[in-house]
Amino acid sequence: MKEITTQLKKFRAIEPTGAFRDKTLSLILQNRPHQAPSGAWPRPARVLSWSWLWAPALASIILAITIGGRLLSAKPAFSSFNADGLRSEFNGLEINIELKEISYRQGVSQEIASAITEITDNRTRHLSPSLLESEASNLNLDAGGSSEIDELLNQLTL
Amino acid sequence: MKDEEKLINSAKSGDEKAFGELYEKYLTPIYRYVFMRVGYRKHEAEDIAHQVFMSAWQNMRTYETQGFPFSSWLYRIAHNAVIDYYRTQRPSFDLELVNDNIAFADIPELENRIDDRMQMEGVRVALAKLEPDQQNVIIMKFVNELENKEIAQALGKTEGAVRVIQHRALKQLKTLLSAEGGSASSGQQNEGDNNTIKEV
Repeated sequence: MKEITTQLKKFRAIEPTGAFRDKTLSLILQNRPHQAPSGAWPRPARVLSWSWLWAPALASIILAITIGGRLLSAKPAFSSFNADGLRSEFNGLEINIELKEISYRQGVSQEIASAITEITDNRTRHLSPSLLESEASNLNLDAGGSSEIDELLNQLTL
Repeated sequence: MKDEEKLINSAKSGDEKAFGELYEKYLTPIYRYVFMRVGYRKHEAEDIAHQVFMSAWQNMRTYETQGFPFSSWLYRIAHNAVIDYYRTQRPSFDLELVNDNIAFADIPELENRIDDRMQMEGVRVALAKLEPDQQNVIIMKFVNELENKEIAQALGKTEGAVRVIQHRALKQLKTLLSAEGGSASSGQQNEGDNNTIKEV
């Protein structure tokens, strides 16, 4: 096995010619390496490569906006955890419920009032049962019968 | 190694002189690897070696060390270039049939060393019969003397896989050379040459 490796080492004599060595280097160096595009907007990958620089800056801006907003605003940032805030919210809730009940009761009273008005109104007397009964008793169904009509009806039916 | 790091950093920032030094250092092993992988054809090897260093120069900015030497990166480019060569220009000739006079014509060191040339020819033919990965590992490990870690990085394999390939390749090479030696010895013994491949 060692003999094989010794044989293989002899291949180290393989080398490029001097002419190739010199010519190819000059040809390679004539071509400029790939440059980053010089546009107005940098490539995303390039931007990301500078993240160590702009990430703290961005974090500082966000922090400044948050703190500034909190200082300028009268309302606490975490009002939902404030006892006073919760109390006022709860009171507001009761008021809302009462207002809903009032509006419901108003609706009911209006319906009652309209029903009473309808009953007492003369224009709706035809709906009264006593009136209907009296009118029915006044009707004389047997009176005023015509013999001719009866005869014609008998002819039609028989 | 620190000097090389400086050279790499300078080359990354476009320093032609620094890249020139890296080129001088690595051209020969890269050329040798390519030459042996493309059937000992000088012009193809020169074209591919040129492509490798052109690609390296063009993409120097993207090179990151990541614990691996610069040579691994170059070998990886060369390995891919050889794959592309066989994919696009599949040679119609049999590598075994390449005459040793052509294969080693441009190696002045071997000009007057007939024995060496004959032995190398036997190894060349046996090597050509190995799988591409086995050829890669044998050339990188025993000709260019790379570490297993560098070979693994260049070929995109694990060090364990490289060791397995190396073991199988040497075993296969030994078998092939024994067979070659057996058949060659009868003819060469007639010429009175005792330094033949059969001794391998």
